[in-house]
Formats: sequence, structure tokens, C-alpha cells
Amino acid sequence: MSAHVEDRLSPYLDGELSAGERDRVESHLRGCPACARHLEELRAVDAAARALPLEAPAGYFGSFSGRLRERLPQRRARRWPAWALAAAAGLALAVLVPLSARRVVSPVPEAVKTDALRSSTPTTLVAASPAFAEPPRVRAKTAAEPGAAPPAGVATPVPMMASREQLKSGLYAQKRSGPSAQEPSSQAAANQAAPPAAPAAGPAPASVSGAAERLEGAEEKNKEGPLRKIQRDEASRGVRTDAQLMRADEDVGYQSLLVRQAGSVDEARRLADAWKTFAETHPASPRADEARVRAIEARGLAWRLSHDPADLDRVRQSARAYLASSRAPQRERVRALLETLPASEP
Amino acid sequence: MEDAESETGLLEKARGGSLPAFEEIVRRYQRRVYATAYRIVRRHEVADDVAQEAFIRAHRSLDRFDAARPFGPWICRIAANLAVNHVRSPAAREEALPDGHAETPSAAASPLQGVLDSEARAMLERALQDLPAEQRAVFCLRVFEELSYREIADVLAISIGTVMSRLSRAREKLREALAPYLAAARRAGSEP
Repeated sequence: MSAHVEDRLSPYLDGELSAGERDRVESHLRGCPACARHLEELRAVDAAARALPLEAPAGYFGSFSGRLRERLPQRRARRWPAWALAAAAGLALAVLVPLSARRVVSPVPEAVKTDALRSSTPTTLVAASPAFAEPPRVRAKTAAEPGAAPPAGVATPVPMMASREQLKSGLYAQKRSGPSAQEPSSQAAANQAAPPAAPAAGPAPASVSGAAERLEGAEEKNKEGPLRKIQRDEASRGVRTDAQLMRADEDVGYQSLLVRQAGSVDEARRLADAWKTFAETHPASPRADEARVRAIEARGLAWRLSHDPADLDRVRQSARAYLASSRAPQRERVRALLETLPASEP
Repeated sequence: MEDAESETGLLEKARGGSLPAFEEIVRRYQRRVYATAYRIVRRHEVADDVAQEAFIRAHRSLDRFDAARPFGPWICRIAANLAVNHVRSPAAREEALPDGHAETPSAAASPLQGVLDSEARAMLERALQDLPAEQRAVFCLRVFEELSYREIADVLAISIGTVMSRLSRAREKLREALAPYLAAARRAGSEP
């Protein structure tokens, strides 16, 4: 009798052996009751495992999609790293504090005004953000907190971008606890203040804070508008949206591209296009060179994922164009990338 | 009625921004996704988080999903990946697994069902929990998700040889744990 085949039984059971190995195993099994029994036991183990009951708490599946709806917008916000949040919050505050002092804080009593300003430092915004301080489950609960007061709107209409930033800033969150938060029309104003086509090339704007998350959670309680809006934004991710973002704010555009990951050919191509667009849109920016190099690298990634000769041509062309330019401070980085590509035809 | 809609139609609508369509997809797959996650992480709280995160990621990636392909395997792989990432994490290694699972009689038939009483099921549950997380993940992806070795290798970013060896070891450990019950089942089967 041939040698026992225990070590081949598991892949045999799964049909993962080559034809030759399978024949050898089957030939052995016909003459070896011990191995045949071993195989039956492995098969029984699989069957028993499949038959194990699997229970979830009562009502779990009934509430699943509702809880999922609550988490969708918050997940978007989480894609921003803490340092980007802090930087953008600081930037937004630098612009908004003067605006807010006149438009938002002034009507609020002195005590509230002081609290608002104190809590609106970038550090506080980050530290208070559930996105970074708590696990996802806890954040979901925070957003849907029954006791959370509904956010108040901005009493006087302000330009769309400013309103968006105010909504996302701690100033806004503080204001809602003031007397004007009781105004019946304030929620509607808040909803109107958020632009329907908010920039969303993947990550949320960098000014998203804990206050913004609470705001979005509260908005969802009233209607599904923000979720639908985010869904549209997600579906329309691409170069066009990136370009809009970058026009709106170079910092936000750059940070959004930095955190964007490409897991497919199409994403890598879009990312390459987006970096190229950034470099062309902000030629004088100190980040333009990095954007050019990242465009080349993303193009290289697209080729590695697709093995499409057209992608290979494009990465070669863009790399050579970079190396041929008079200003190419990252020449070595691009040259190293070129060396990883297949040798081109003479 | 959306209930009667094909999966492809729902996916197209969801990709176009329809929240009800996406929620219908979620309802159709939530049990399967949860089961995939639970079998790997073995904790309800974590499985819930993994299942929700899987749908969130699928929702974000709808624009690059081929709606002509079945959604189920795709979302389950996302869930499996997240679950495996969890069990690989240092935090997960420190977590104690909960005691035995619910012992609800299953309607599924198996060669052992007649003999595999609640004690044996509890033993199998314990043996599954005691498997190293990496072996358990491979076992679950093969036995419950019915992925090929190549697919498992892709999901877990390991070689096919590693898949094969982990799966063999996992099955052998489970077989050893169930040995008394398997012998009893054999005896019962041989009795007239």
C-alpha cells in the first residue's frame, strides 16, 4: 500500500489538488480504511461547523440598516487625519473668528461668547472630536444622543462658504447652546446654510470637527437629506470634484489628495489626473512639484494594476517630461520610479 | 416594488444615489455579512461593527463595483477582510473570547446531527474559538464562504501554500476536539 495521505486530505476535500495528486489520493483511499475514515471525519467536521447555530440579539437585524444610516456620514469625516483637521480648523478659524465675532457671537450674551471663543481653538476642536477620541460605535451614539440640542442656524444669511465653515466649526456648536438656539426657524436655516453640492472628493472638508459631526447627526434625525447628499457626493467622486475642491481651497484640495488611496486601476488613473490637475491649477504653489511627482507615481500604480501599455506609455511620458524640465527638484525620486518600469523599446 | 427588484437594478439605483435601494441591498445581505464577521471575530459587538463598516465601505465604493457581478461575495470579502484585520490587531489578541455560544437547535442536516448533541456543539464552538485567529479565518473563508484557495490567499494576502497548511491544521484541531463524538457517530452509524 502506498504511503498514507493525511496531509493531502484537506485539499482533496476542497478539490484543490492537481489531477495527478487527486488520482494518487483516490487510489490510496480505495485501499486504506484509516485514511478513508480520516477523510470522512474531516468532512463531518466541516458539516458540523456549518450546522452550528448563529444567533444575534433579538431585534438586531431589524435595526441594522437604521444604525448604518447614522454611521455613514460620520465615517466620511473620519477619513481626515487629526493633523489635517487641526491645520484646517486653525485655518478656518483664522478667517472665521472676525466674521463670527460680528455675525454670530455678538448677539449672544457675554458668558456664551466667552465660552464659544475659548472652545474654538484648534486644539479643543480636535480633542473634542469624537472621530478621534472614541471608537466608531461610541461616535455613532454621540451623534444620535437623545439629549443633544438641535443645532441652531445662523441668524443672518452669510456667504455659502463661510456658512459651511461656521457650521463645521466649534463656534457654531457653541452658539447653538445660546439663547438663539431656541429660535424655531434656526434648524431650517442651518440646513439651508449647508450647500447642497458640498465639495466631497472622498474625504470631508478639513474643517470637520466634533461639532460638525453632532450637527450632521442632528440633521439626519430630521430628514435624510444630508445622507442623500453625501451619497451623491460619493458617487460623483472624480477629477471634476477634485478640481472644484482645489479651486475652493488649495489646502483642502491638497490634503484631500494626500489621504486618498487608489485600490483599483480607475482610482489610480483618477488620482493621477487629480494630482496633475492640482499641479496645473496651482503652478506657483510650493506643493506643485510634489503634486507632479505624485501624479507620475499614481500613473505608475495604474500601470502596475492594469498592465495596460497605454498606462505604461503615459507614466513614461510624464516621468520623462518631468526629468526634462528645468525645475525638477525630485529628479532622483522620478528616476527611481522610471527604473522600476520595463525597459522601453529603442 | 423594490422588494421584487433584481440585485443589479438595486445596485444601479444605489449607485445613482438612491438610499432606499442601498438599504434594500443591506437588508438582503445583513445576515450573511454579520455571520461572516461573527464566525471570524467571535464577538457580537465586534461583528456588528465589522458588518456595519463593511456596508459603509461598499457604499463608498459602489461607483467602482461592477453591478453585473454578484454583490454577496464582494461584501462578504470586505467583511472578512475587516474581521481578519481585527483579529490580527494587538487589541484583539488581548481580548478574551466570550464563553460558549447560544445553543439553538439548527435545522441544517449533517451526518453528525443525530449524535452531535449540545455538548458536542459546545465543544466545537470552543475548539473554533481556540483556533489561532489566522487558522480560524482561513477555515471560515473556506467552509462558510466557500472561497477557493486562490481567493482566500488574495483576501488574506498570504500564499496558497499557507492557506493549505493553515486549513489542514485547523481541520485537524477541530477533528481532534470532536474525536469522541465522531467515534460515537461512527458507532451509531454502524449499528443495525
